[in-house]
Amino acid sequence: MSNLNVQNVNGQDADAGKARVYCNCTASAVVNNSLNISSVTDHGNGYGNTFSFTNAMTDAEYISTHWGKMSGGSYGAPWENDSWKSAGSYRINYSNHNPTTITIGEAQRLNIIVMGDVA
Amino acid sequence: MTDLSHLKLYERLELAKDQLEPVQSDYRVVFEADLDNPASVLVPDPNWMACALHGGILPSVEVYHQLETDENERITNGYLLHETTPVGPMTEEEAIEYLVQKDMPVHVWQQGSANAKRMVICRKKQLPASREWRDAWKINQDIQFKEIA
Repeated sequence: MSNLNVQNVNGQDADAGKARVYCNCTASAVVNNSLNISSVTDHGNGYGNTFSFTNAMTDAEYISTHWGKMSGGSYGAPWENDSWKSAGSYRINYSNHNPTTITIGEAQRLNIIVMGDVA
Repeated sequence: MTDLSHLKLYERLELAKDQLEPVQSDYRVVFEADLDNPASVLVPDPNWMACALHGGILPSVEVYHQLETDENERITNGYLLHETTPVGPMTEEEAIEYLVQKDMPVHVWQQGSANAKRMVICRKKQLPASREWRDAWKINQDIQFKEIA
């Protein structure tokens, strides 16, 4: 697996305690930052966020690694300096209805490993 | 940037990310896809917004609706993203409309006549400042709409 794609979703350093997503892609055709995010949707505490991508993914399988508790706001939340729920279980769902969307539940600070091709 | 239409979408995005200053939109889209769940809030990505405002990078939003998958959920016509001529510059409001159609469930934005308001485009400051009751957020059905562009 190559670490070809590093996407900082809010353009701020992770040390600032902001949500951040790393996408590691296996496909050789994938170039840096090819999984660009178009938007993040906050579905509420405990409901997770949906990350939508500008590119489409094919044959994708998603594995996440939890980083730990957020210390600040999240990209998905337009409200700064709010405390977020603590570390816990998480889930990632591939939306069959939109091939450019994944939903991340519960944990707000994740390392996303995308294994699969980018269309 | 010069004409990038000969490049694949991810190549155009890569160039744009290197050359365009991110634009953090003040717009947020609040919507209710499921009445049993709290309202969702969509936030545009700054790099994507820069691409939309610049033009010549993103395909038309209809292309995303034309993507097809096989029985294994592999996209079979991803070439459409790369080979479709990119659309020109959008206003920020047009870019939000694009995102609504791309990233939100169809049944929310394509609804016909309905009594309930299921989507509101607003400014960041119009959202609650605290998330304390986040899971109880609903769209105020008494809200009055006005044109923003």
